[in-house]
Amino acid sequence: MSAFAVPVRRKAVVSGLGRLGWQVMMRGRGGSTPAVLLHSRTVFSSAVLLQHQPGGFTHVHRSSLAKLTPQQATNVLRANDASFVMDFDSPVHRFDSNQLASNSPIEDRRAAGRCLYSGDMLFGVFDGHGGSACAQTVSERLLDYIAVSLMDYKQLCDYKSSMESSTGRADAVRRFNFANDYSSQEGSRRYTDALYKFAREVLAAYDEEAEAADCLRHAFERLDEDISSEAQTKLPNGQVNFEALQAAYAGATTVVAYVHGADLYIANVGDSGAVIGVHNEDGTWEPRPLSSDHNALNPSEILRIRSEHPRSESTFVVKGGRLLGYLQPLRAFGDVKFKWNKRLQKEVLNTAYNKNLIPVNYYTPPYLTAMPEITHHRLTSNDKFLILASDGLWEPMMKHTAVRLVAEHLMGNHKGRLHFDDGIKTLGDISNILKKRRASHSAEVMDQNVTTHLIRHALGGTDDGIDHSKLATMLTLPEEIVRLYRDDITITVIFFNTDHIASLE
Amino acid sequence: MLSHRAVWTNCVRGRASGGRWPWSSVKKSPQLCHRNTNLDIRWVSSGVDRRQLSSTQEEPPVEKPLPSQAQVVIAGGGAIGCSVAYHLAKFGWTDVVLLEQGRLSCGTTWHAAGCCAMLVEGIVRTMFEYSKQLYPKLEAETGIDTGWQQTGSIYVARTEDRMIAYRRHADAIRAMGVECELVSPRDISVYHPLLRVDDLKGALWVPGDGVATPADVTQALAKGAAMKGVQIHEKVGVEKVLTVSGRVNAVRTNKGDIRCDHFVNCTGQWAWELGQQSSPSVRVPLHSCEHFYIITDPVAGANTATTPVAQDPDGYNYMREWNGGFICGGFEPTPKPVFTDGIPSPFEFQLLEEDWDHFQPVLEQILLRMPALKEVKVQKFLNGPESFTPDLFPNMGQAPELPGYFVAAGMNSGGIASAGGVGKVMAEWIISGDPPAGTWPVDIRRFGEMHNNRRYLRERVKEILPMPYAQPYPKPEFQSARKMRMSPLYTTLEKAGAVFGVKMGYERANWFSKPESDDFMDVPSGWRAGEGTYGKPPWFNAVQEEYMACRQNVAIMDMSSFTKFEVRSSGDEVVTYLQRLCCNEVDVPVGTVLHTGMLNHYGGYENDCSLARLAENLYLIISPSNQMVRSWEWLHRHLPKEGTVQIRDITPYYAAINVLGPRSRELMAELTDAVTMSSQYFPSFTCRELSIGFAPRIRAMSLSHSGELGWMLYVPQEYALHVYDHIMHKGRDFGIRNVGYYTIAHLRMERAFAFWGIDLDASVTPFECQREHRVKFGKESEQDGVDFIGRSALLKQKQEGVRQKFVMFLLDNHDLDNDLWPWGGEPIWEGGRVVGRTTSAGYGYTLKKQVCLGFVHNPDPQTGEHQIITNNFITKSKFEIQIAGKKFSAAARLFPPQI
Repeated sequence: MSAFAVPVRRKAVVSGLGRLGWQVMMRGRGGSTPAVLLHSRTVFSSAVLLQHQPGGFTHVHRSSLAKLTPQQATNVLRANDASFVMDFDSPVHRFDSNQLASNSPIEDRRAAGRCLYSGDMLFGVFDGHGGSACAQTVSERLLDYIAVSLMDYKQLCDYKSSMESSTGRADAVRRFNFANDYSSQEGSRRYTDALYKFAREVLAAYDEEAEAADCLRHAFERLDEDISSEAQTKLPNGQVNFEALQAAYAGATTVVAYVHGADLYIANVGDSGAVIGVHNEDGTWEPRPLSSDHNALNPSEILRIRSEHPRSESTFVVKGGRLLGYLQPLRAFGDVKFKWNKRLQKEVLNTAYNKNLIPVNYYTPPYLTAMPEITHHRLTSNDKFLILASDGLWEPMMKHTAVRLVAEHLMGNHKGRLHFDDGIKTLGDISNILKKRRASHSAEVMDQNVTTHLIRHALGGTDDGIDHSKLATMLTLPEEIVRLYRDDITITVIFFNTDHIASLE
Repeated sequence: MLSHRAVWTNCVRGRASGGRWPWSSVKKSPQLCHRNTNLDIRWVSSGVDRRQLSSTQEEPPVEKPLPSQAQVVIAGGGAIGCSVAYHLAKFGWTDVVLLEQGRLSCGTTWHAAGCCAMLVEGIVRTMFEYSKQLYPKLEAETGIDTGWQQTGSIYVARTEDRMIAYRRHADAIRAMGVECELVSPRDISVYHPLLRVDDLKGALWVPGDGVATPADVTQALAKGAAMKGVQIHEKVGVEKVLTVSGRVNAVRTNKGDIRCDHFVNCTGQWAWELGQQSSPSVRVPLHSCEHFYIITDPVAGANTATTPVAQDPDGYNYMREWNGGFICGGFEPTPKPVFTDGIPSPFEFQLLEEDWDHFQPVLEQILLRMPALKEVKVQKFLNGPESFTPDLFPNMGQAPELPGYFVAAGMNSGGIASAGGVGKVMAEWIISGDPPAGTWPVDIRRFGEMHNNRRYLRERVKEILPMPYAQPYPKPEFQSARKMRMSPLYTTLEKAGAVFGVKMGYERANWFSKPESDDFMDVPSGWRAGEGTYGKPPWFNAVQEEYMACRQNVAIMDMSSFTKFEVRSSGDEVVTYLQRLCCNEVDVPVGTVLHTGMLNHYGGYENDCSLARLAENLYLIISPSNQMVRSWEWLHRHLPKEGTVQIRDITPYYAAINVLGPRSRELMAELTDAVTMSSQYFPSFTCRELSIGFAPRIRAMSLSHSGELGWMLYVPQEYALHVYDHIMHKGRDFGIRNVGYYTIAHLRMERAFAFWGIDLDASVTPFECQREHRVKFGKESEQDGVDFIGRSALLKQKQEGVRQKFVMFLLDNHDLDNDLWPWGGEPIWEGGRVVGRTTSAGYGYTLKKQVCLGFVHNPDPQTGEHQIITNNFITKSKFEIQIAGKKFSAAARLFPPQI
């Protein structure tokens, strides 16, 4: 049997791989691409071809399904991995990150940076839908907005003077660059102007009492507003700014971790997730989720949305697990289709795209918000790492599994060879140390980068470890059907510096 | 890769540093190794002990020119090489040169733990016991103390099964004259007060065991050899063994060539690689593993003279006293093979990187067994490579590929305990040219080409390293590195529930766990391969069904693993050739099949085979599977020099299917036709070509290997599945059934058929196993018989009588379900003395009794010499067979009862 015998975990496709399910799903993620719809029948038949045939063979008719060698699979998995070790004193010791595309091109984005003025650390994972435009914009801009929003008065003044003296852009954040990062040439000026404007306004209305959580909320909301207003602004030549419009029309869920000393804040919009790995005193590992998913599986989100709209709308405001029957995440950046009023949509969207895009039952917008849910967690020396990941990881993998894998990897990485200097420890002491180490050892780790390790397990993991044929199949699915089996995966795992955190306790 | 990173260790040698060990507890810089290697002795025939000088002054090593020729060149200056040199000289061969690429003992000998305590039997035990006798004597002879201390050793048991194993072991070694005692848990403290005993079931105490210091044993043997004239050259590496007309001719070293008649490869973990350096190359199947122990600080209560070696096999660890502390090591269940791609050079007095994590399971068990160690500190962690063979027996003897090339390597961590005996046996082997008695288990001819594959070895040694402490259940089968050689029927039989064993790398069905017939119900739930018992085995009922099919009906068995040779000549040279090799008459009508022995000059079985004369000048020889290399070598050794006789190994080309049972003739008639299969046309012990199904030219022989009516079908591999399917299809109406080797073993035991390699070896003659009828002294003509090999020895024996006799025993009062079973190896008692050991045992499903086969001797009470055995002695004496301490009276029979 092929790896296709395993249950397919797709939210939209609950039973079978019906044509309808495919359509619904693609539309639901925001941008229904006509080309994909046209191909849906083909897609269906390809999936059927992979079923077990009576002859005992899995008939694979497509050359594109050729399996990979283990090394090829590893190359694919590692193509976007990165690992950064902090060379400064910080509550973060190091972080690993990786991305694996399902959509072509990938719609996930990631960002990491250090606030230049405070030294605080920021990490973000952005899961785009309806294309990557919104996720791209958010990934380029959100960290700066947050950094500015969090600045104290003096920092703001310093930043302002830097803004004014700088010929280029005055950075609020020093970013860690990933090899597959790119930035928008066109938008650069626009982004900088908007950021400076935001900074000046924050300074003007400086509120000493503002909590970090408020600042985070403020940054999120402001960026979403800027994205929205930039889409409405025509270019100097009177043309529609399609790049800005695309960013507003597409959407992105976002999870951001903000590390300030021992204070960890998670700001979440949508269904990406953050979970912390806690190493208990008894040696066990425990996952502690720091975000809740903003989707239809979360009753409080449904209640929130229903409460924001007339009772008469409660039957369709979240329908079929989707916002207005369309959108899976219940909070997101962009997606102005669910935010703008009908007039604005007609004026901007319908004109630009030359068709009516207003959702059915669209009475009391906005239906969607980029208001983040903020979780504050005071780090202890038991908190060893934080996993930020797009839902591409959380669909195939439970949070506790991810924590276990990272924990095993962590212990394995730290394994090294022990040397007991002659005559210092007794054999009893040595034995106890070894026993503890052993308890946390698991199967051999193939990937130094823990996020690659997670992706490998997410795609190829079985109860007996990695099944190469399953992994190779998952990595070689044809473009038309790959989204049925896996979503874009983006993971950043942040390892905390326990000694640093202990010194803060 | 990582393990190639060898690290220097502190290796301060000799007494000068205050210890008897090649390194001291004091930290020394690695350079000191070089400086202190001057404690080595460059032994020359003068026999001067330069070691005495070396502690007071340093002398640059003297370069002594290599001799240009020698009778024997030994490569490897470890304990084994030095022992071979010592014993050759002791037996009078003094024109011997020993070459060591580094310094004596620098390879792996120096870091051995030096325990002379092993749970071994048979030839390895004999060699081990000899070593224990030898080491204490070496000091008087050479002036070098080998560090020998007869401390005794104690083996503790955590389980009842382990105690059964000890009882069986005690029976076996007592029969060899080794003193030992089973000890209750409470009494263990009397022997070793430091051991925790509350979780133990008992122990085995062997007072004659002890400890030695490996480097000193080596030095003493080297000096003893040098005193008798052996030349020892260090820093001389053997590069190649040169051959002339297929024989060893010379040895090429980095310092020049030495012409020699014999070469002995004693290079331990380097032996595989050195084996490749000759043409033809020589197989030395062994592979290195990382091997660990620690040395602790002193422990109160440890005493050099009295603290025994403690071994706790269930916790895979051992502990021997060392300088007031302990050397603690083990045989962990998950070993780490190393050096698959070669050994780094140089590798002298070197260790591998310590790996505490890997040692953790052993350490945990050590501290459990000897809690006092928890409080002491560790002095040193040692990780040294050690070489292991595919079956835990050393590689010894003459290489079948290259006459004159001998091997003694792969000691499986028993090198120090065995070195003395290995040297003695090898010296006897080299001098006589014949393997000494009982050496088949260690004979390098037991391995074939497939065993020498590096990847195979790497996989297999992972199973071998833990074996010294594995529970030794009966009928063991290796679980690793399997599915190498397989019959074309393998997958079919596997589907039919075959439980496979392996012989000579060939997968063979031992029994069938789910016969397709309706009466399948026999496999106990939860049964899994590799699980053992000393009592009634889980396959008992399944094998009974198979057995009954053979006895009452018809059965089919895949015997494709048998070794098959075609021998031919253009004229009648092949007849002359085989007449000389075989003790039976082989000049028989074409189409005749016969059993014959191929004997050595002592009349002993080199091979026991079936011969079929396919044409005037073409014979087919069928030998047991494990004879593949050995009988090939024997046949080749005796080929006429003129090249008139050709031998071809057709084992890979023919599958062999045995159809057996009283209804087999009927079934065969269905497969071909009634006339062909009539008893007139196709009587027993004849051979014809048949078509079966659509398959042509099947060589059918009317015999089975278990005494039933039956046909051996030699089928070209490509037709094997067709023929099998066809037989199964036609046989369905007969109730045909797959059977495995366990069934054959049970059938043949009730008929007292001796099997080569199990009951028979090169030290047994046909007269000793009731096979006079297969010896034809008067071949060709009554007056002038062919002088077949072994004939004169047999004639002499015929006049004198035999001194050992193959006897069948039926056990009385054995409770099938509740008593432990005999499995072979049990002592045979007569009148308060041990007169032999069983070689095979099993339940007689027809006789309804346990059947044991074995050899009986009649040792003279005074001299111990084996006296002539009369039939009266067998039939009149009262025998008992001892199973794990319990004696069962046994009725002896020279000939099996009618069944």
